[in-house]
Amino acid sequence: MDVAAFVDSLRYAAYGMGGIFAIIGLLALITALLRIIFPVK
Amino acid sequence: MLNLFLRSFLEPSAAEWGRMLAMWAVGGILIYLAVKKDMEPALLLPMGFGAILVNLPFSGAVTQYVSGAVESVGPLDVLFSAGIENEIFPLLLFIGIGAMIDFGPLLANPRLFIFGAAAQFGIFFTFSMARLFGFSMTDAVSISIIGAADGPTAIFVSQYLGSAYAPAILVAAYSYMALVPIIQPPVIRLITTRAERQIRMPYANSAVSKPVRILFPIVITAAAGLFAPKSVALVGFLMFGNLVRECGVLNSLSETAQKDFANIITLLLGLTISVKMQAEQFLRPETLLIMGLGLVAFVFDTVGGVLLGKLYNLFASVKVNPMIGAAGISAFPMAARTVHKIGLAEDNQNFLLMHAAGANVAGQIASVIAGGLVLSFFG
Repeated sequence: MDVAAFVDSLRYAAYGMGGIFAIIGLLALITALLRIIFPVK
Repeated sequence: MLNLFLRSFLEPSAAEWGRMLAMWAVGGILIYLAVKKDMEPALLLPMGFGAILVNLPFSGAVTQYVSGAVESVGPLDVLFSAGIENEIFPLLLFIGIGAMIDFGPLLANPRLFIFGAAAQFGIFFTFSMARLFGFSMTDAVSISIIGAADGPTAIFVSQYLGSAYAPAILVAAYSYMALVPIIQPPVIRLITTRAERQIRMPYANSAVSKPVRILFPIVITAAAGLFAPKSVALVGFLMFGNLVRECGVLNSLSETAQKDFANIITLLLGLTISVKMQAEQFLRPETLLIMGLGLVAFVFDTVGGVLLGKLYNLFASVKVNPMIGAAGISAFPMAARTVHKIGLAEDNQNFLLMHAAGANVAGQIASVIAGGLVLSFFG
């Protein structure tokens, strides 16, 4: 068991989840924007 | 001739024979799961057969060495260099997957994107667990990507990072994808109340215009490429397949990509990955640990998605059924179907399929972006 490596990894895990939410949130906004710009006629 | 025959039987030591026999058993189990249990047969069957093929004494299917020099070049090693070592096969497979996916439910309700993000939690949780168990940084990342619930991404990342555990990672990723209908229900029931599972979500069939369907894959590729450049190969091939599907002028190509093309790549991928299933590489204690960590990844993907659904309900005026968060994993369409079935079991008038499908395809995008993100950190 490498507790030091585990503790160090938490930082990367937090960055990873933060990064995913930031990028996916942006993609959601872009998609919503596309729907507003090109509505169904 | 007789010499060659005797060499095959007599030259391997008893220990080597034991390892080879164990790998034949592993191959047999994979073929059994594919044929009898219908678990990802397109991949597990070639892998199972390949596991036997490469573990025959002095197998001509793989490159053989004598005193460190190449004695004969094996066709599977040639295929491995041509298609997996350079990550081409998984990327090509993404064209087929992109052509298969209808992003309609997600385009109709872009809020579902967040469930795709939340259900990647298992990746990062497993990464920390793998580090705790002493795996190196790159191996821990490769193992954690089992949580992407996406075979091609798992191959791409583990190969890119040069992980020695790629075959075990692949077996775990594809096995657990097939086991989603067994893994997810108890986890979902454990962390939701009956009342939550009964929350109804009426589906307003809001149409999506053609320009949105065509622009979506292009804009998503550009945006993902700008913010996570290492994900652009994965996202780009996936979205190219989807563009072929949605453009409306390449129906024949779209059908080919969805069926024949994807089937051929899957066949080659399964058989070729077995190069790495040679006994000395596969039979080690770490393989069992990786299988265990793979299960942890799928469980915590599910937990992440469902908990976000519960969190969302704390603030939203119109509540969602938190189970759709579980569909945010990339295993498509098994996760969406699983959530839909649990919903119907709790309330036979609760049809969650379209919402779950939206979260499920969001998970497909989120998983490839997660793959690109971890490569940005560690690649």
